Amino acid sequence: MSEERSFLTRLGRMDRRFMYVVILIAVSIPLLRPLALPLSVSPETKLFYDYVQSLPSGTAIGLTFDCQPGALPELYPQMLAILQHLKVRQTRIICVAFMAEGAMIAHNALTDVFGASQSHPGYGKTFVNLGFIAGGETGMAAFAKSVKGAAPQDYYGSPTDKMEVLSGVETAKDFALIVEFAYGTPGIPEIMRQMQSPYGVKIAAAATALIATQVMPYLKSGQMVGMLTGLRGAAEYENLIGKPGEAVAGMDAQSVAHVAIILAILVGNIGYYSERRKQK
Amino acid sequence: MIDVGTIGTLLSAVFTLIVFSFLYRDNRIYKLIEHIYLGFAIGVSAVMAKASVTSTAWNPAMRGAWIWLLPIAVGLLFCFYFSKKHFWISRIPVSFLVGGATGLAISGVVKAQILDQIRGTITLPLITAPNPITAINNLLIILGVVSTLLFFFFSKERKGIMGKAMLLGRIFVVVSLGASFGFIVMARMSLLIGRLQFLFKTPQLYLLPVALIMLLIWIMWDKRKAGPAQA
Amino acid sequence: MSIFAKRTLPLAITFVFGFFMVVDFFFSTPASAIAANVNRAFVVVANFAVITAIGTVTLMHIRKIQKKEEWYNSLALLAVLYLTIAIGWSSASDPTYLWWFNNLFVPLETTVFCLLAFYISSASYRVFKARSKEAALLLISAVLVMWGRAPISAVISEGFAAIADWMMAVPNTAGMRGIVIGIGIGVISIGIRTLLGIERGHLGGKGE
Repeated sequence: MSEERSFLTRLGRMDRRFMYVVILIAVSIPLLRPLALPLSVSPETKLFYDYVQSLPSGTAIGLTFDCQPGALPELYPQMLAILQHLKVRQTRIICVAFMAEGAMIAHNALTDVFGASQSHPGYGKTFVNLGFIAGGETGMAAFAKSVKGAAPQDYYGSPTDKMEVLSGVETAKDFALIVEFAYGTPGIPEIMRQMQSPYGVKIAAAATALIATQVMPYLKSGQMVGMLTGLRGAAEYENLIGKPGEAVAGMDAQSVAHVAIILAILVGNIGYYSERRKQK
Repeated sequence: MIDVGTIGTLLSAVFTLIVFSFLYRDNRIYKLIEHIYLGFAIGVSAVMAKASVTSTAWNPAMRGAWIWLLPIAVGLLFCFYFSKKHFWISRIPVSFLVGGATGLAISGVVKAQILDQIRGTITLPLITAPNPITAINNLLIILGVVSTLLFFFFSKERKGIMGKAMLLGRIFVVVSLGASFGFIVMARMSLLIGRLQFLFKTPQLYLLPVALIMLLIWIMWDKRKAGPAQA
Repeated sequence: MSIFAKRTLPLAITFVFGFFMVVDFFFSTPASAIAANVNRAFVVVANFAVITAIGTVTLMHIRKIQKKEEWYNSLALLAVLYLTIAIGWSSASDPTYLWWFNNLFVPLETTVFCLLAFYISSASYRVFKARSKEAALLLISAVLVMWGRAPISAVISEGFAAIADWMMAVPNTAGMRGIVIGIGIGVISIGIRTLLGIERGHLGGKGE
């Protein structure tokens, strides 16, 4: 006995690979032919930008690269935009990683923004990459308690005790701001526990969209000064600093992808309800 | 002459396309790449661990601070993890780490995740809010936090006013999870956008037609293999 | 070896160092001077945990090679693992190691994670059905956030972005804050149980 199925029901049961092709095409087209859609700035990104704008030159800013390569499509544009902004503000940039891959990612980001890392004349004076500190939350606690103690050498093996960029920076409270590039664990909760809570240092999050909802309570309670969320956050920041880049270029594709997913959810549910009605 | 950078970029693109082949179906080359990825992941962790030990303990010890050989010795006790008879020795470094991490976590969580969050809730202005909409929003936040906390009281019976508060908490949790799902979709799509932005640049762009032709041949090959079997 | 060495000693170490960190966090004592060095010791010891990963993976895949179960995959894994260690051993900032990392490892991990975009798109129409009121509410919330965060929604109305911002600022903050506080209480509870030796999962083994 053959089953009578409506078009909608069949649509709800199509091969998943058809959906893969739809998504691939939907995301590819705006990348090849941009739509130039307008992009507003969300409140949390504006807070982040305004805080960095208010920082005097020469203040020490910590950047913690707690991410793995899987998060780079979202976080790398954020890293570049923030580093460019800090470079213009002439702050001292102190990079550290509490995830192993973060040290190499920091090296890449500094090279892309400054043109070189260790070989740059400003290395050790205006910026430094302290490399990887193991232990997750215990590593963060060690760094917060004694920056040079936890990182006696930088990523390239140079001693940090006499570095000009670290002068006056002994503990976490000597930073004017710490930006956490957050992806998983260790991440925002750990940095709040080990740096913000005991030392009162200002924290800003540059987070993947995955953890944005979990980070929001810290922003709203005043424990953080700002937050960038995913690729959109990077695009907003690029626009604010006047240097649109890869993130802005990806926003049209993000829009189309969201529309495709919303339509998929609608089609799936219409098919489901149509089948339920037939069964009744 | 192709330089090392271009070779690296092309290899990146080839690896990317091999991983994408899994979307059509599982295959031997993808399985091989998956194993290679795992090898890389552990190798990178090992390299960074060695660099960290060298800079924080070994080099200071070689410069005269012999005390730093002690944590290295404790860390090496992890090797006993593989011994059936002396496995218990590997518990020493584990206990050391767990004790430290637990102590730090308990200490930090009191202010960061409990007191400051409660303060952030109870200090929200209601009567002194700048406008009625802010006051309503603040009231919603206060009600939401209290009801969400009540929702997690699984040992209490869900009836009466308590039951209604728990139901309200459930609604707030569901809305939060919905928002989380929306952001998860955003995050995943961003990953795809990033990869495609890479593939749409030269020289890796020229690999795409080659990959497409190989995929079409693969699909036809599968259909041909399935064809006689169906007959 | 006695029960003291196998069980009591590790639990005592957990308690002593955990208690030390708690006291150092809240009070200023003469022992605070050595706390920074103790913290640094944690960092050093934590690095050695990778020994267990390398050893476990090596033993497992050598067994697979011996049994000839897809031996070529296991051989490739071990070859890449030890080659990576060899290349990066002298320096983690070595240009060859960085080339290896950037051109081989990074695209692999990035692409593996990006497959999730396809799975979530297929799950969107196959699995995410509004089977109950709560499921419907979850989907509505998700759709409002996705639509509001997409720049294309501003072409129709700026209100959609405002709705998404409100959802993040009010109901999501309320719900997540409750969860964050709950997690905090849970961390303290599990932490105290661990320090007092009631929770012994970290000891592993056969419960001796």
